[in-house]
Amino acid sequence: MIHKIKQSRSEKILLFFLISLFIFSLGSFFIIKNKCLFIKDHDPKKIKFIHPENIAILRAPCGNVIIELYPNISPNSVKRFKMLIERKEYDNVAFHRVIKNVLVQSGDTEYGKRESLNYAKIGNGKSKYGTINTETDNNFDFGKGTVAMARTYERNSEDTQFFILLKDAPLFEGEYSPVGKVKYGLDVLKKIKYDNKTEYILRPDFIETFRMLRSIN
Amino acid sequence: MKLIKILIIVLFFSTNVLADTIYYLLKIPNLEIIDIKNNNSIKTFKAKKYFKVGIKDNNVECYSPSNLLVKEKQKLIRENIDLYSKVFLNKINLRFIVLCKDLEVASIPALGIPNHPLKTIIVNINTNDYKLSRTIHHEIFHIINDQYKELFDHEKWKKFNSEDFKYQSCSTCADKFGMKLLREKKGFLSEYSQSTVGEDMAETFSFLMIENSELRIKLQNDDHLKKKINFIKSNIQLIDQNFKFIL
Repeated sequence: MIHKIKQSRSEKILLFFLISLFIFSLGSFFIIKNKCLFIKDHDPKKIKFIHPENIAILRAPCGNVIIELYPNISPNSVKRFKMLIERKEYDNVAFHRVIKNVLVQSGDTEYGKRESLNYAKIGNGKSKYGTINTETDNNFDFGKGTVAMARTYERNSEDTQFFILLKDAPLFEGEYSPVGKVKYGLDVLKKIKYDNKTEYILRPDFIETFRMLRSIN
Repeated sequence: MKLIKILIIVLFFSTNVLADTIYYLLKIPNLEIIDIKNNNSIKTFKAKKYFKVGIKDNNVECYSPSNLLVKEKQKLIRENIDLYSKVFLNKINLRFIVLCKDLEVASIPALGIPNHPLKTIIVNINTNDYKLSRTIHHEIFHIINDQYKELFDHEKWKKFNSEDFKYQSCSTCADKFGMKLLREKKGFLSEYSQSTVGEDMAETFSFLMIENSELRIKLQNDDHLKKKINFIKSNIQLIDQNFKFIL
């Protein structure tokens, strides 16, 4: 005959505590692991735009970044940028240079592609389209969210790379060609993988897709 | 091999992560913005702390000027810089001016130093107004010269001097740093202009960018100098037809 031993009060409390601890640990593990948990993913179809023809959607690991392009500010740079988006050149391209809370840079279509990532040369890639001139004649506020063409130390060397500012950088006015501004989803960019010790990222995050709004409607 | 390359890249860039946006542009540490909104887009900075950049014979040491000194000189600097249009500055690739109180280049006290790759001139403002104005234009010429090397042919320039004259092998090889106008010396505007071809060109250009009635008088009887001035003026006009000299 088996005697049932009743749990004492203190044993019940201990069991409850252990179960709670397990649930809390499991929950925390998923919360910590999921860096995108509290990031709002904006649906462009639910937003009304004044100039929908100039809206581009960058799909990053944590959601959509909705960018308005300004062809009246930098006509040639925006033309190039739109062309690259329309040809899907930016799909699966790494955010190879990320400086926490300062900027994210991507667009190396030669050495930054997911399938042919070249750590030794990333950031130095060239495209088959050639370089374009720097456009800095028009005034532009290089505030947080500005999207601008990246270049080498020489002016007029813009090609495919671009950067997005995560903080105001008024010094950049007159130096880089602005192409647009992030309207929604700056928080998504703050979750792009960065390293506290280096600007250039090992196993970086990638642009999943980059499309003009009209092509996804 | 690939791993070594990656390590080098990581080590090289790891120092920049905590840098500010000024450093991203100029690659010079410890700078503070003085003026970034103006007609010709030249951005002016001052050293907020002492900095030393470069190595061995090419190092530049700059000491921080006080706010009072910067305030005293700012108007003069702006007046001199405003002589250059945004179009011209874009063509010669000059974007930044760094102000120092005392400056040393390879441990030798200097009034200015150009850095064409960094699109920057570094100027010692701890000097009188005449020298500061002349230094700004002098260093700007070095930037012009570096951007348009093919226009400023050194061999052609040497022929403007009398046959018996020879330049020094470097700008600091002789103890001749005077910037005053030499009234008597034919063919040369200052003591320093006799050091090298590059410095002679820069001094000539610099004198053309400030008002100097004595120079007009000197020019009347100096054919060597007339040729040099014509050379500078005609080549600068090739870069920008709308460029205006003071003299």
